[in-house]
Amino acid sequence: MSKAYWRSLSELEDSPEFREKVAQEFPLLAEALTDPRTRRDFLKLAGASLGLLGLASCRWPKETILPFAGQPEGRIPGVPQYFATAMSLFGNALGLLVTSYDGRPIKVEGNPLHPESLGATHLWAQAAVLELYDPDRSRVVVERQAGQRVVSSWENFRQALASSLARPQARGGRGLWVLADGTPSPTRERLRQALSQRFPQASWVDWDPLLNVREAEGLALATGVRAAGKPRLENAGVIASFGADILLRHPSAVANARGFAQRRREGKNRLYVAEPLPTVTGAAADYRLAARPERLLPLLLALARELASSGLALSLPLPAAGELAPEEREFVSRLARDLRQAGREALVLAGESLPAAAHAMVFALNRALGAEGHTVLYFSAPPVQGSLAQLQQALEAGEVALLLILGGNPVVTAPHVPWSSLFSKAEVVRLGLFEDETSRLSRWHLPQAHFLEAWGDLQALTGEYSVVQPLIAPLYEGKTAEEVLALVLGYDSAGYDLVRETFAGLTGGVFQEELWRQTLHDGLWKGEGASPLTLTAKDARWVNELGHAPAAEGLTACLTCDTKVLDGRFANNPWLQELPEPLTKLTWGNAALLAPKTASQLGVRHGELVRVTASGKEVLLPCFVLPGTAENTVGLVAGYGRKAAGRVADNVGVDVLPLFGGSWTTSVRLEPTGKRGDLASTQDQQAIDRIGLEALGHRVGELVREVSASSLAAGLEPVAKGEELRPPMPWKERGFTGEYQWGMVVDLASCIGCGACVVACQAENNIPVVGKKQVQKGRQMHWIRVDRYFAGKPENPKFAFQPMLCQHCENAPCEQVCPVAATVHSEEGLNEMVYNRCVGTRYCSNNCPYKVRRFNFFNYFKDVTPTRKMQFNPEVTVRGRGVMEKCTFCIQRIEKAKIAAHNEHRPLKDGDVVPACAQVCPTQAIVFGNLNDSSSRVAKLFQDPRAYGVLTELNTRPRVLYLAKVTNSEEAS
Amino acid sequence: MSQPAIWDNSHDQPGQRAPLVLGDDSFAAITERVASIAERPKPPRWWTVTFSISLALTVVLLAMLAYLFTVGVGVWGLNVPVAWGFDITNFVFWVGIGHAGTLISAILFLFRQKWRTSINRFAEGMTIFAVICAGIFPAIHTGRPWFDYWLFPYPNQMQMWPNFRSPLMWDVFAVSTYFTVSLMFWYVGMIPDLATLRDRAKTKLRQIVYGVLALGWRGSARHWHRYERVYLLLAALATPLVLSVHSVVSFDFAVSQLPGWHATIFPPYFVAGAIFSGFAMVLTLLIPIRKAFHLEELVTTRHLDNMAKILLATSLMVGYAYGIEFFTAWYSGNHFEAFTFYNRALGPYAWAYWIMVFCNVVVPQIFWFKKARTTPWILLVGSLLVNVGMWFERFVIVVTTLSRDFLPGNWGIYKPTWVELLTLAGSFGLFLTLFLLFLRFLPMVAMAEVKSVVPRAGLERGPHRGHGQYWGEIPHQHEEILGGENHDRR
Repeated sequence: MSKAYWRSLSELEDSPEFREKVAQEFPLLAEALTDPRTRRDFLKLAGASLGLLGLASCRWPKETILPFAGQPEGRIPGVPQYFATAMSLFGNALGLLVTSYDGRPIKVEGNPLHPESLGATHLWAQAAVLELYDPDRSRVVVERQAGQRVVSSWENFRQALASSLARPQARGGRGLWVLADGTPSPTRERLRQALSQRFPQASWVDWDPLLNVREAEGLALATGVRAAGKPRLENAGVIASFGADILLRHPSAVANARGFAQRRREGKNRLYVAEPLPTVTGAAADYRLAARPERLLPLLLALARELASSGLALSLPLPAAGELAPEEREFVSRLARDLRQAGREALVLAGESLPAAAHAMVFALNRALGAEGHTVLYFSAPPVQGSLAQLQQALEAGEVALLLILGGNPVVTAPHVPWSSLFSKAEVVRLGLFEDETSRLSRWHLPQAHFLEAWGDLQALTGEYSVVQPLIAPLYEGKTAEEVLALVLGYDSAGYDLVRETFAGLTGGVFQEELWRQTLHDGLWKGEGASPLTLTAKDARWVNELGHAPAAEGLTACLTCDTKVLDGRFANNPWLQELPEPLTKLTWGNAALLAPKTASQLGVRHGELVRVTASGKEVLLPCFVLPGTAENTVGLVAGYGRKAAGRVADNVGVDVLPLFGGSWTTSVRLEPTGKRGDLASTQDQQAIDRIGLEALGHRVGELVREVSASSLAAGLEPVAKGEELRPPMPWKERGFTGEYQWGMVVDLASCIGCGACVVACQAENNIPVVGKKQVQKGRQMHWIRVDRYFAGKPENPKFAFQPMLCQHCENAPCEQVCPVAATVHSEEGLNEMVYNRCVGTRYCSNNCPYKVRRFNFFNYFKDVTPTRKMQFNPEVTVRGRGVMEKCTFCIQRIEKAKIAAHNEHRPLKDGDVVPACAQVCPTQAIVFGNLNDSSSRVAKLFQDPRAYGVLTELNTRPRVLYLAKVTNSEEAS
Repeated sequence: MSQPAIWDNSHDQPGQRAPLVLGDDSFAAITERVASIAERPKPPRWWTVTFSISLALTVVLLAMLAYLFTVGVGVWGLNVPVAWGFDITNFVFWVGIGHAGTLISAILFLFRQKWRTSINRFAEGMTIFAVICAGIFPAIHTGRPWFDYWLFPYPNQMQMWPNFRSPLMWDVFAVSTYFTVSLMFWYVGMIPDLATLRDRAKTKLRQIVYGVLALGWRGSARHWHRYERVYLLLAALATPLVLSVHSVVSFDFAVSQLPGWHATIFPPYFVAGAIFSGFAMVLTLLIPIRKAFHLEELVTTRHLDNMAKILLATSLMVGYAYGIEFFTAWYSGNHFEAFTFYNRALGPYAWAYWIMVFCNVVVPQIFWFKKARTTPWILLVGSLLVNVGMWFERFVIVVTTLSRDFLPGNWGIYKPTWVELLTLAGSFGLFLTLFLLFLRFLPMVAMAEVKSVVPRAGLERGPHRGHGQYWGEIPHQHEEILGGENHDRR
């Protein structure tokens, strides 16, 4: 080893390229290199490994890289393969189909066979593929000794585990605690049971802020059985939600949204929502009451009383509901009347922030209304063991010898527990995707395998069993929670074997290869299917708890988890950070949400930095004046202000959780600071002035048209009048000769504004993320944006969402003005963008009345890490700097379908081509197809009386039509 | 240099025409006065100072361009919806400035406005440099400027023509044609004067350079004959271009869809605005230079008075256009159109709109007063404000329209960055650098043409005695007229 080599190495030591190189060759070294504190370790490692290699042969180690001699069956290079897998969120499973190109998963779709997916996914599933390739994911086992971070190995951990297990083992497991994240995995459950057999005194706690624990507790109160409700919105005619965001943040949100939209399109449901902060569910409501969080319980009680007094057989000793405000009274009486009329089509739901007794009440109401079994089914809730409080007590008492944390991030999500002092009293082992805040306080950090790279299994609430199938060998040294449990149990088996054992156990004890393969292929095994529980009501002592609602005084802060990064678990995902929040359209951060009236009372301006103080703690964050927020309520969004999440999330937004101390609401003080906050909104970046608001009010009705459910039932006059869609042209019209004429319909009655289409499009089309500063300048790149409009009074506005994407105008204004003919029309009616030809005058964008074109102001893919590159869709060009881009109607999917049809000597069928946005949409609001085929869905919808175009008076002849929104309030009819 | 008989020739006396040139109007004196400026061995101190500043700003421009090209258009404050900002504003602004020169030299020539002779060279020079500055912006505003040549129709292996339907394409032709013809016009008009400089040159280098530039001009009658034919033809060729260039530039906006851009009034409105801003710029430059080089006898108060009148007239046209835009917006019944103008006057960019109205409509009203028209410092301040106002006019048109168009969901706000501000400053640097070099090395007044309008020239022009008729003493120096340029040195 010459000296010169060392000198050059030390020169290189800090360059990013060098690190990248090292990362590829020696992940361990790279890990040591990125942490300056362990430079000494780096030298040790480098010395050792280079020395070994150098001494051996002065060459790189030999690797066998051989081409396939024969082509493996079913594998054609460049042709994607699809694998079924499943993802866990909100304590439920979502079946997925993942597209894999040459061994790289690049895109996630829903599994049509899975009851929670029905072919669609939520936005988190879309973003999961980016999480897999997150360069900040932890790669190595790390041990922390006396504050020193030492890169270790699984072997070291195994030895350490053996010694730290020795004491609990001798005491029947006393002192061994497991803190798991509530993933509904049968294998985990099997191992948990095995653990409790091996260590009878060991304790297990499940903690996940997204689990509907209170619902289960409420049902346990009412019936003695921990159960979970599965809403069947496709059967529900009148839905009442008290603070439950059933369409987005719910274990069955995707299926709920599907069911809701199915009936909404026909005007056959009516949604009542009482909530403190606007949610997409509230935005879809026909009657929405902006209620302070303390008022939800009295409202629910008042509803029960109203129903009981109207003769509903509730037979509960209902306490008094107290005084109701006039609008509350109107809301409750109208709702009670509608629920009675709906009978078994009625459905009442309560949010997780309501106490268990409220959930018991909801159960009682649904049962009395006859809804049980029709609009809601009850299944046994995913087993959630113990509570954080028990763990805290044990830790404080020093009874915990070894704490095993499997996933989750309790240090961030439960800041009311003094973890840092408690962790010093036990040996803490933490398995996590990231070396985050919890890992930094733990003795051991173990890298977790992502669900797309490891074997596992999940069980849906309704009982379907899905195998979590890896799409790729683990990128790093990660292991799953089940594999770590197996280590503790001393099984030493891989995840694959663990899952197969579970599967064998579930399917009758003997492993059935045929069934296993079928399960892998379908993505689920129905088994006998979990049958809905038949619950019997217990005594009604819980009713008394309903009377103890806290008084609604002063200013109340209301906690909500973010609609994008949730509790912060997806904070390091740039797609989700840059996704505009459905209602505020905020990206990259959170804000204190205030009603316009409350803001003016407090003397706070939109965007101003405010200080929120509660019980001695204070946070500084920008204020967002959001119409529809309940008065005297401050909406605080959790999931931000992470300190050790990774390079994307660190210090984005503000952590508001410490204010709450584990509860959902708290009384706060809020004062303006006079300084401007740092908000990045994709819509109304500047607060709109008076004249702007007037114009907006004038236009919304025309842009987002509405029809009432009653007019729909009575036979609707076409919304687009006369020649509106195709105004006459003074010259000969261009004919289109293509065999297929592509068109799209967006149903505004179905669209709930969740934003899944935005993320799906981003994943499919290699759309860059631009970052907070660029969003503030108005340079976000999303090809599809969901415009959000308010209408009516700011205290209780109506909300409207309008997905806006390239309209593929037949008479496209953009095409005419491009000086170099870089955007042209295809014979199939597509407005095509030729990236190679574009010089970037941006004239097309200026002349586009819909402003759906996006410009690469910089080279946004300049610093792409090698892992990130693996996500890119090889069928879509990665655009460089200075080029315009926009929605292509997923032309790569069109061409792929055409090639497949051509090879099968057949024309394309309706449904062969599904763009990414249409495929992901939980409500099937987007329909795409061939207009030349009069039997296609899109061609029929083009003739629908609800169909209209946006800005058709400009004679753009858009190929995207919208279906008018359907509202079902009595005022609208 | 003797004291002229009168300083103020701006009075109109019925039956008598005011003199166009004052003071010692002998040919030799005119030659001496103009040529000596370009012949000084050392420039005056103010020139050196101004030139250093301009050159420094030009370097700033180059630095900004280098930064822009290496990093991307994102260094500017543009976004979607406002995808054009300072770039196109500056382009239209400079093209507008570039109007006065050709208007003065070509149109006024055809209309036999002989007073133009004292200022046309100067104004043409300004035109050339302004068009150079203008040409920079469309070239650098593209996302991939290294492919700008795709905007030209040339045979290529891609077998691609540019899109002839695009107004941006028309711009390429309009501006390049305008630049070529203006340059030719300027140069051809300068040939006799270049020959004078050649003949007076005292160093070898000057002899060679001016000799080459003079194209062998000898001042023969045949030369003069051909020269005047060509000049007339070029004037006839340039005249429609004056109108067409800014009409085409206005098509960039008028042909588009957007409320606030899509208006039939745009071509005449833009041409009027261009003349307005061009004359303002001529005045802004002329007044200090006239003072610095003691050219008050050639560029007389009457010249200033005339230009101020044009300024007033075009200001009224522009003001009319501002008004009629509101009327059409209201009368059309199109609420998008109405909102656009409402928004201009009261929206987030109202400050820019009102600066524009103040500078372009209110300020020029002082030129109803003769005192304002004939007092150089008032004119200078007024013309400077008009320059500011006309820059804001383009800013208002480009930015307010884009920032709030049809769908409220895509409204946005544009804020320029320091790069854009420095690029604008740098373009002024480039303009002034070129202009100062012109002052230093080329005859800034058309000597030969001025001589043709002094009284003694007019006498020999046969029975027609039009412009330049002088009520003073008529000299009899027959031989000087016939002898051509080289003989009038005494």
